[in-house]
Amino acid sequence: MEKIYYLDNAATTKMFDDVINGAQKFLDKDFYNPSAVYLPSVNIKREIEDARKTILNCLGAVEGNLIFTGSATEANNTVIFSQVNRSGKRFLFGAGEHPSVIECSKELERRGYRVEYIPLDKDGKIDEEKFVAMIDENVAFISIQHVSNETGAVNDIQRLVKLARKKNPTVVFHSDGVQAFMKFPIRVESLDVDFYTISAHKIGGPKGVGALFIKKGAKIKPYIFGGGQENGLRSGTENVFGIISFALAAKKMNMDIQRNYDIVEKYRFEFLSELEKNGFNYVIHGAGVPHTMNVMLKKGVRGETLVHALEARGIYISTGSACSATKNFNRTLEAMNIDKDEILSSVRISFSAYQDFDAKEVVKILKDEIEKLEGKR
Amino acid sequence: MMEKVVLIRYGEIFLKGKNRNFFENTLENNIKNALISVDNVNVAKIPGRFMVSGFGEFDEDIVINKLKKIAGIYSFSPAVLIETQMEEIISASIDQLSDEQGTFKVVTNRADKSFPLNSMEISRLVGGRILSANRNLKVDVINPQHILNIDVRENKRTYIFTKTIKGIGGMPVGCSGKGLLLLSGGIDSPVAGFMMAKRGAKLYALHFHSFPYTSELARLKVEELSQKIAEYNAGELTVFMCSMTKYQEMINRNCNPIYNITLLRRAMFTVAERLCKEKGIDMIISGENLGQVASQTIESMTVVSNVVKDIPIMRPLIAFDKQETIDIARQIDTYDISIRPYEDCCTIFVPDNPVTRPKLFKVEAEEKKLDFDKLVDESYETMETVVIKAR
Repeated sequence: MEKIYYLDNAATTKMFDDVINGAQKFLDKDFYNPSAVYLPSVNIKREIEDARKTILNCLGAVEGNLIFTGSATEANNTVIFSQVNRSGKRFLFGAGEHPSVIECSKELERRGYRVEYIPLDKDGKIDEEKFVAMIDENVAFISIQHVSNETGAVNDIQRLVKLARKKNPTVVFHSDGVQAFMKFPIRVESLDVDFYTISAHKIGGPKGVGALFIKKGAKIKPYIFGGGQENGLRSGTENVFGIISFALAAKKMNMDIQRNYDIVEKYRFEFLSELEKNGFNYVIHGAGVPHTMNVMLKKGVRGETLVHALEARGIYISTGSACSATKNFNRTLEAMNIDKDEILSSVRISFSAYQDFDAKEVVKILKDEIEKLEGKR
Repeated sequence: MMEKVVLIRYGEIFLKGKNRNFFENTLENNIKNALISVDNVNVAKIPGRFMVSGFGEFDEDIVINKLKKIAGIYSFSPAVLIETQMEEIISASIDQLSDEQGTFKVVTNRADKSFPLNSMEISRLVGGRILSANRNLKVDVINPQHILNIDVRENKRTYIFTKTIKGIGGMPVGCSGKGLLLLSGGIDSPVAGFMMAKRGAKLYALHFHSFPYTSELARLKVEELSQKIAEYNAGELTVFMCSMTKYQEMINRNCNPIYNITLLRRAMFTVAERLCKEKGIDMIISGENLGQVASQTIESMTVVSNVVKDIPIMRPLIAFDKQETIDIARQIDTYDISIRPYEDCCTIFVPDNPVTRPKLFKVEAEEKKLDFDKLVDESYETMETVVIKAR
């Protein structure tokens, strides 16, 4: 087997070794339930509170709060289903949201709520003009992702919130920041969102832990009831290992944030230059962070087939959001008005600054496999 | 030249004549401390104000949210600093209101009398140019929705701003002496601390526990409350933790139970006064409130305060309704922590019917059944010190 190139970091990332080592003790020596009243338990609770502070600091939050959840999906569900008492109102969702938001919005529709989708522009961002036209005093809730999991497109959340509040000061604004957190610095209180979702496993932390930032004064109801952990907002014994590693990963990434961005930008540049050198007539869908790109390498070569062909050569990429890769279409690209053949020929490539990347070799294999699939070889 | 800055106005400091330097320096230090985590930030004294500069536009809200918690700041405004030059003033002014709609007026303050136009003329000129640049705005000098302030200062510096944010007011922490806050874990004491910090007292806290009857969780709660208080106390709070367990056991064994709380509180205040003297702290701060519970009748307070001889006891909440206290607790973010249901040392060994109007001679007679001084000494020996930093 050749070297493995894992180029699907938007799906998940490899955990950092020092994060695993740093949090290991919470799996063995410090296994206690943080809700118990004896000293070792309370000390674990202290560590959880420190982790909370660390992540709030990484978000640039001075006033707001944060609850840990079992996933970013759960955080998104918690926010969205907190809003359901507001019947007769309109609920707006970005057309390219992640399934953990879109499937909630569909459930709201099934329950009879007025759900509408905000169109995207050709770059994969929210179409600002259409967005503004949709806002009126009947809009109760808006959810727009910060960075697209499909294309890497970045929404100017601060501006969108400002535009929305100008027409409707009471609107509740949520942003799914899973793909934005630790890609560039974030000041969540400047964004002025009421809620912001982040996830551990996209930043070198473990799977099974997410978090929800809650602006000071924002109202939210629990989604999971039980022992009253996380201030009653998210019951269930805390995932101590997950939470501590989340904070350790965030701290590490936060220190490297600019360096990482530069590295990833370099990878992307080298990759695209190499494609050009080899005569690829590629098309990139959407524009935003360098970490994630949705690209059609060769029209007519199906993305799914290509993914499997590359897998056999040790290159792991994806056809779209890994969570919905089994479904045949790509909602985000459809919302960008990209034609169906082009969508079927697209793949998603996502880099990590913590992995080596040899553009020459990767593009060589790409070329090789595409030629095979086209029957040229 | 154009720089994002924040202008800080301080209120009462002005009233203080000769001490003004001390107050200003204290405030300056507190501001610097609070902003220590913001990259490249610079705090400078300018005539009658402070100016924060150097921070990236990106960090502006962090600066704003931190300034909201600093006592002694009356109000502040995010502003742009430009060179005093008419075209610069006009373009920066247009920029400030470019996203706005509704009504506005321009208010100019010209401290630099060498600038050729007077304040009325500047306002009129700038107002006219804003009108032609932004069709969504109209002038209303009586009741405008937006006020654009142009502050023409010496040395060719002009500040332009539209927003004035209220600070918490009061006096800079550290310029009204030191206070020892009796911090229980309930709703009232953090608020009492905040009120006094706001008046410039540098806070220290004394927490009594009855471990193992009270849990480690109760202690964690106190640590978290302390962290919130620290945000208003120049970034940190030194907390003294003292055990009352032995003393409470002895009262419970030897004394008439209706006096349990009175006797306990007398011991606490005795410890507090001794600690104040040892640490050079000037006053005791208590969250007591007239008539709220049995231990807070005027008779109870009289008998309890009787043990404190040389140091004043401040009770900033004495005349508050509970709801007023709760409102402040929510404002300073301590309420949700305070209502966590852990036992504290006043809620264990509580008699069914505590005395509400204790008489001093009876209390002293009960106290004689104990070796009061020795027990207080022993409690004092258990003292631990923890320094809690703000987030």
